[in-house]
Amino acid sequence: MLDSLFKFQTENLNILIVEDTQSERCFIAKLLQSMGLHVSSCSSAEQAILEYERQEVDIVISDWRMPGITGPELCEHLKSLPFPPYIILLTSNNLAEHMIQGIESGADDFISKPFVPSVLKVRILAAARIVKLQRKLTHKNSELNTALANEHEYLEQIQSDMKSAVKLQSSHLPSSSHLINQWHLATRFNPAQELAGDIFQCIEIDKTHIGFYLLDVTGHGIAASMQSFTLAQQLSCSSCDWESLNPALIINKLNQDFEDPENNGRFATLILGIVNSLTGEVKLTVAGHPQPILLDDTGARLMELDSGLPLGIDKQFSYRYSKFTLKSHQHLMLYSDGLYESQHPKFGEFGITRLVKRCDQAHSLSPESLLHHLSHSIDLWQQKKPQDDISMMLLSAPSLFKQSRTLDSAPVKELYFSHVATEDQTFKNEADINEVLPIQQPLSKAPITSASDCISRRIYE
Amino acid sequence: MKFSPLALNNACLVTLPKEMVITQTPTLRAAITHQIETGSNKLVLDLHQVEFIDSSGLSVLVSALKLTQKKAGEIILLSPSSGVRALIELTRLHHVFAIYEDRTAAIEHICEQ
Repeated sequence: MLDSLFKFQTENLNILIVEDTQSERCFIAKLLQSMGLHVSSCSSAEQAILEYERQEVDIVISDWRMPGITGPELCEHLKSLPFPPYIILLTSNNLAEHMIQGIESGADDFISKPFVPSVLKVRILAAARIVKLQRKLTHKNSELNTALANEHEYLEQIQSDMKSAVKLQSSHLPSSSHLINQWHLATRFNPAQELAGDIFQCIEIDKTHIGFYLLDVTGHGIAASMQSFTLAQQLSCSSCDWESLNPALIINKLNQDFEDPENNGRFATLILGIVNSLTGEVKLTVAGHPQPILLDDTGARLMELDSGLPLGIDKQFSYRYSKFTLKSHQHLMLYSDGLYESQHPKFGEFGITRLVKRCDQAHSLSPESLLHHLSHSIDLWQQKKPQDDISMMLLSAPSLFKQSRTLDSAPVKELYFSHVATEDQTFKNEADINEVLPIQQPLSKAPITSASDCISRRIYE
Repeated sequence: MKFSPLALNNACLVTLPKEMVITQTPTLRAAITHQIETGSNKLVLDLHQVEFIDSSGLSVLVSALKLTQKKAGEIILLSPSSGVRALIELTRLHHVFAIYEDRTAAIEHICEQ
């Protein structure tokens, strides 16, 4: 029983005997060979060091006292190598002090001469167990290292993919530019992570109309940005009916096609509008998104337009749009929630009120400078640690408005809002009006801000 | 987060933690989804402890709402702080959620057969 266990445990083990006395050397070698072990031998430690470099050795059995390098010195040398063997020291001295010195120098075990063969045999068995365990660990280690290297490579691949995705994402965003009929666009985009859930765009629909939107998908990272990309794709000129000039219609379609396959409750908030660049008339739909800010020569104020549910909440929801006019020197600012939700460790949230106040104080700045100023304020507020994606888009009416004849005869003096439900007769007569813009049914008992509340007012702090 | 059973077998009161922001949402969503999948299709989500919520926190509420609707259940939001309520109203989600201020009334409502 012990024999078969011994054979199994010591299989493939190579033993090196280091002993200066020839008779001793031969005795131990014969003994070990009779146990079925692979044995080689040297007459000195110097020779053993050379031999160890040449062949694979698992266990070294060395005499203590030898001319030249001694047993403990050999131990020290072998144990300093990257792959040291298991070492058993032999000595005729049975002093505890000797044993301590031997083990301190790196020996794993210690046998005093003369020894009983069966004692050597079980010591070899113990050594075999440890050598096998070490082999196993080395193997596992190299497996882990390989796996780690693969993971590392994979991660690098993902990071480089992310980098190109980020480049792609920002290349799709419009930069500050001049639009048709002297309208102007200023934009700013600061992603919190590498990939953002925010996206915005400005489109010249025809020679008169400019379409624009800013949307924010919940969360950030890969999934959120994929979703915002999908929405942007659906809103591109080729797949979206911008020519209908009806924001509510466009958003209804977008909402019906919104998918959340994992049921993560993912939704998107959005502002989408269409402006007539000749008259300044804006049709705008808000879907659960923060209200735009209106800036002009006198200051800044938060608009109070009708707002519907975010996209992805209720497929049956019918969106509506508000109508108002942007006059000369007026700017419409759209932004994502990252702008005012940024937290200061002591003062808390930046907040919409503070945002409007900052805009009010800085209303005389040029559009680009204003966005730069806001971006800097937020940066300081969140102490230069981006918390959420920040998008800003400022649409400016030309300073000298060449308004069309119809409007010249009835100039728009006040900013006004109106739901189509209270819109004038000519508009109501359009055949598809009820289909496109039905009067919204409240979905719960919660109160809805009435249309009469929708009067723009200045915000004072 | 704490799940407390209510008088009705398939009803449960879920007390949500102080922070419902992007770093916590996967855990919160998984726990609530599990609760719904294992038979509680009527939930009172108690928001009185919630101080910080962002849009991904709101998405946890939305996913719970959609899942319970699919299982012919119901969700009630209880006692959101003014900040949380402001965000819910800004995103217009108060049109799809029933919001209660009174705990007893919310529990009574959810336990109605």
